[in-house]
Amino acid sequence: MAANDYALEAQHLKKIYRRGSEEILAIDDVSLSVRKGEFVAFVGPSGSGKTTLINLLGCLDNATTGSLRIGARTVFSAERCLSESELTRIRRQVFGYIFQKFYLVPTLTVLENVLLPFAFFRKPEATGDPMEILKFLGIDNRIHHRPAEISGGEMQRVAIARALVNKPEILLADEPTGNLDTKRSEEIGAILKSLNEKEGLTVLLVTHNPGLAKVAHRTVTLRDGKIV
Amino acid sequence: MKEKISISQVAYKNLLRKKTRSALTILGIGLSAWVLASLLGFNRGYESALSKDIDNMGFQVLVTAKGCPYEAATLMLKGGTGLRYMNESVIADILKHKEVEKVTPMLMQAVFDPNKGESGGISAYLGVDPATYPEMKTFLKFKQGGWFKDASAHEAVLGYEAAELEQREVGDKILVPEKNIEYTVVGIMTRSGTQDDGTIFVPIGTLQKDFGQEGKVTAVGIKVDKKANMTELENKLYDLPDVQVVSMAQVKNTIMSLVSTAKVMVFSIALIAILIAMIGVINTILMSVFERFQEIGIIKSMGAMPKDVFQMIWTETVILCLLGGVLGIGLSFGLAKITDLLIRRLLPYTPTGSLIVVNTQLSLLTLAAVLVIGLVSGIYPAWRASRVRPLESIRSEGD
Amino acid sequence: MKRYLAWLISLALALSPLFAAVGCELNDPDRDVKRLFPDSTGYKTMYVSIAEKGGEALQRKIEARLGDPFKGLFETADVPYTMYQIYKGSELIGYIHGVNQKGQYGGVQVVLALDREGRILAFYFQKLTNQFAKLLRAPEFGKQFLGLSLKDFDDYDVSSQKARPGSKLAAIQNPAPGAETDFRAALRAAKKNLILCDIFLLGGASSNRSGIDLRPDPKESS
Repeated sequence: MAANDYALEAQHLKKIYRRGSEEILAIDDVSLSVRKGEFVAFVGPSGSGKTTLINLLGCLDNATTGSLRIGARTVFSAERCLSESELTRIRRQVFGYIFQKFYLVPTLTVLENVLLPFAFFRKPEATGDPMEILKFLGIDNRIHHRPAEISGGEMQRVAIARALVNKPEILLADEPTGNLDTKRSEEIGAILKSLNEKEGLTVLLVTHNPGLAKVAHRTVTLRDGKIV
Repeated sequence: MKEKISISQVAYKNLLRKKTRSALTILGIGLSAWVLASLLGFNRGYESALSKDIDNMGFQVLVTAKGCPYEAATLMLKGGTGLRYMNESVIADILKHKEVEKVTPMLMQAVFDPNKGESGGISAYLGVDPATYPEMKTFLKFKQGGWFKDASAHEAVLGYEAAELEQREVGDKILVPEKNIEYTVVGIMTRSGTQDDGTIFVPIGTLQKDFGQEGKVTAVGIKVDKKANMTELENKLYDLPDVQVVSMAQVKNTIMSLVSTAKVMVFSIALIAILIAMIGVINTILMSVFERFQEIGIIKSMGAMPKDVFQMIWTETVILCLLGGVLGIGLSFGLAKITDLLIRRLLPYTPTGSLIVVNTQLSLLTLAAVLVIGLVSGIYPAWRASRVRPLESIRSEGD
Repeated sequence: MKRYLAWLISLALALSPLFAAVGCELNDPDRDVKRLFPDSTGYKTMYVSIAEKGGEALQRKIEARLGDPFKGLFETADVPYTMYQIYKGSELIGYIHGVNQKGQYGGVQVVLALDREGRILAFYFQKLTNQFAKLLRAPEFGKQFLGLSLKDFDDYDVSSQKARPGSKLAAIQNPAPGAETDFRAALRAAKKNLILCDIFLLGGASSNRSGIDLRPDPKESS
């Protein structure tokens, strides 16, 4: 396939953590490619390295060795590692993130939380009306509420809206339903699927909820830092 | 619907998170700003009140006999000896100069009074010319009576304190000890807050005769023409034989240079207050940064560059300091009267007039100082926040 | 130049304590108390004024008792009175109080030492400006007042300056005919002194006309 068809390509990624005098090999020689518009779920037991891998793929961290290309760009390779500022520039161009703990700013309203990324950076392509995203997620009637006044499911949807507002190419979701009940989890799953199918968003999902993983096109299983 | 939210808005709302803590920090800054503004105002107030007092002397230049001018202090110690005199003819010499608008001669005399205090003390009398002295000191007001008209009458005018000490009123008599001469009190002045309050004024002709000092004076007060060059006049007066020329401007400068040592102390206090406030600010912001590590990480993941985070935290500091500064200035205006009273209790010599003058210029200066403090204090916490790496703060359960 | 300055400053410093209304304090309390009460071991100083203890109403009562109104610029309700309570151990043995009074040539200060019942133990002038001051200050003059109390002074009318014939007050002689004004001033001062002590220290006990008890609360005095 042509290089432009790939959202990202990782080759021989390794990540070593140092804890005191101990060395921990969190990711051990992982190579993988994700096509544009693909929905990939990463599963595996606790400690298998799912989150570490997704952090590398999502440019939240540099690998110890290996290479990563996002679209046509080389993020890191044997020759160079990117600085925090450079990583930030790529992150804001390419990625949107959602996490298990919604991380909303408690003193801002829902609308202000969603618009928060614009305080720092607005992509030229992000010309759409943020209210459309809010309507799509079903929280347009909550825009003046504070996070403390809405439910967990609604908070995660606000976080999703915030992640989408700058028109990312890749959506990274790390255990997005970890704090939600079954019903809400299913709703989130449906939303991710819809975003992937309707908007063509590439989605990388980390979960240990098998029901949620089924929504993806394919599943990547990890154990002890390796793909199995 | 607003499509944008700014970093400043985010910063402001961040402060609302811990309202009590923000309020206390603002209070701390406010108190420091109040101290600073009051101290600056005191500096200015003292100086202008002193100027006014000096201006109230009536004459701008004083010519006295060379050697020991006035010497009331020495009088108290030595008991009446040590005074030096000038000849009255010096008045004519002074009037020759065109810069001189008016002159008034004065004669100071003292006697030992065995009735004063435990073992006696000095009674001092100031002989003045009723034709020229009252004109120079038009601001002296009378509680009872008025100035004597005749230059050789046996009359006296008392400053309020002098009258109160001896329970004298208009119509009463005072007795000059040793000489057993009586003067009738014709006027008692209101409190002026100057040394005139303790003075006994007698017509100069009378004093000269009664004390055997005809033709002599101890000082001549000179009112200088408004358009004249005072330094030039002073130089000319130096040429007169056996006289000393004292300019009130010099007196003021001397006092102010004495006061400037006090100023240094005063500013040291202000500096300490400011340092304490700074530490308070750094502590508050730093604490809030540590509490928000995760959030800062998320913001970075959203695409905030380190400089954006730096700006956000720095803005929080500036907002705190501005609010504190405004509070402090408000306090200094509102409490100016009370602070004035406090200072009068503490200092031995306080001029009349308002001691603390806090005006717009001073307020802006204080605000600027507080702002600078804020900017400097905020650098470390803001820098610390900007260095937060997203991963340090984002943790995921179960991996 | 510097001398002029020193003059300015020292004069200002000397005058600053006089900024308030003038009262009468002992020149040297430690020495004076010991001299008047050789048995004493200590004393307490109390400051009162008519203004703070009863205002105009109180002033009227005092004037009525004195038989003469308060006069002039300096005899006012806010004059501070200094009263000394003398102790031997923890026992109160007497009082000392001085008042200002206008004299012929200057202020006259009459100081009285009293026993617990308000009888005069000592009378002297702390301040007196007069050619004949020597005669009035002599011990013989002061001795004439020993043992007198406020009741005795009821026999002396201040405004007419006459004593009831045959009374103890009528027996008091002026040794200096040229100092008649100051002699009369001394009598007025003594009577006023006794009235103030009666009201503020003795509870109005010996006067059935003031009837006011403004004695200090045992815990209150400084």
